[in-house]
Amino acid sequence: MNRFTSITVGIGEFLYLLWRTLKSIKHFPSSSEKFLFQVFDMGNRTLPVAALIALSIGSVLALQTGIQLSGYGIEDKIGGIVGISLCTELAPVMAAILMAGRVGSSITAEISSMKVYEEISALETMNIDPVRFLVLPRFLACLVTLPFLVIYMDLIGWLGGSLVSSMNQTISVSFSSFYNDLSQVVKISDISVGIIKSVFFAIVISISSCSIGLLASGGPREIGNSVTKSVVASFIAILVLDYFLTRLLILVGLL
Amino acid sequence: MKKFRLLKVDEVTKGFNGKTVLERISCEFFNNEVHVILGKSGTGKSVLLKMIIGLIKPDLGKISIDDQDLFENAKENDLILSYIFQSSALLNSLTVIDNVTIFLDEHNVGSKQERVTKAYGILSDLGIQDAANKMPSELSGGMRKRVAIARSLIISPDILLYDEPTAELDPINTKIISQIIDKLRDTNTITQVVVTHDIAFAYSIADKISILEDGKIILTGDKDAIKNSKNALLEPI
Ligand SMILES: Nc1ncnc2c1ncn2[C@@H]1O[C@H](COP(=O)(O)OP(=O)(O)O)[C@@H](O)[C@H]1O
Ligand SMILES: [Mg+2]
Repeated sequence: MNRFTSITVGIGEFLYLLWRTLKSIKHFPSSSEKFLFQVFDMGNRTLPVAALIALSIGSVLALQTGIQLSGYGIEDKIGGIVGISLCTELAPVMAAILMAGRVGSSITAEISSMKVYEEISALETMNIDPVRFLVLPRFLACLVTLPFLVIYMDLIGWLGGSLVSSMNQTISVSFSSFYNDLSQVVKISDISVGIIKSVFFAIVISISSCSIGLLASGGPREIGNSVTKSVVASFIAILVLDYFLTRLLILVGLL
Repeated sequence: MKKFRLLKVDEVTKGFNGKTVLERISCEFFNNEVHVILGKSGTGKSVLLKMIIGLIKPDLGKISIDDQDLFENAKENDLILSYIFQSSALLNSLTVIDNVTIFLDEHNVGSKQERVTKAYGILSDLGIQDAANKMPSELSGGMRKRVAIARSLIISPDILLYDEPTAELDPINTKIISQIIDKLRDTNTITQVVVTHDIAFAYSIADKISILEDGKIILTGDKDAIKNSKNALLEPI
């Protein structure tokens, strides 16, 4: 299969699994325990690194922008600029990349290993739908976790920005004026832009990593290949989707 | 109570990527018998069982219960089949007890307490109740096989399909598996189909033996008839 057909087939498999997952949502009550476990696991895997990334991005963003702004004497605009960039673009994309790298990869590893070692077939012989049993709780957990991760990264990123702005001699914008400007510029709609993006990213990450895992076939070597494939597919999808989502959100007037 | 008389594989053909593995294969499994299918590796024994359990669709031919298509009438005949994978295929992320109760859990049969009690009963019948809270990775191959059998027995199957149940086992564990099969035969409620390439094991458990060679059943009959048939495949090497 050449690259073009395999991408087309991959998208087809993605949409088919998404459809089956949505259809199985009515079984959610019976998998709520698995869902909670997944939420906990996803939080565990992402929160510490997310804090580090957000703090670093917020600080560097404030440092670079703040020094430029102070050249024009308008460094008091720093809060708004850092606030907007983080919540509409940087936090959702970084959160999604982190989610794909830490959570999506482990979902694919787990599911492809279950496929290769016939655990999925065993479920089928017991009339247990692997979509309901495996995909649904991961899908819903990702859908809930990622938006929270974005808000969490917004807050920590802003904190990083405000710390640097107040401590850096050249910028020297106080905590309160940073947040004052931020609160005037950043609107609820800007925060929801990040959250809307993250919902789409969550769908893409969870379904594609499950789909690629379920399609694994052959020996144990396939597990490694599937994980690589899953991370690459998620990264590309996140970046491409980000562009089109941004255009769409501009179109509907949210940006 | 007899739930069925005859499970019939009728002129079934199956191939992969243009290569035929099973060609118009036919065989019959009667209620309550232990029927062993002997064949060398790669002859399609697993493919045959996977078609009976419904994991693989035949290219041609039909699998039926008392002349009714096994899959079309799955609801009506409410016959329970269970397949024990050669690899045991336990869920590695669940404990032994959770593996055994998974069917009941996922289909909401009884209370949690009832499920666990039932599972413990089966585990102790099979002599592995001490392993209940272990993870599959902590078990030996023989114990994993018994957990897989427990996971099948908890759904009270009418037909139990074993895929090379002794393939990676030592003689003691092989003996344990034959004893389990014997005990289940004595309950008179379960039809057991066992595929294997182990001739001694086949003789130790079988009521009936069929020999699979080149995609076809070349010989079938009662154990003693097969023993006396002097088929070249049955000669010790
Ligand atoms: N899913 C599959 N795809 C392609 N070929 C397969 C598949 N399953 C089995 N085969 C082929 O069918 C033949 C019989 O396999 P199998 O039933 O596993 O043999 P065995 O008698 O050892 O159990 C083998 O040549 C195997 O390569
Ligand atoms: Mg086999």
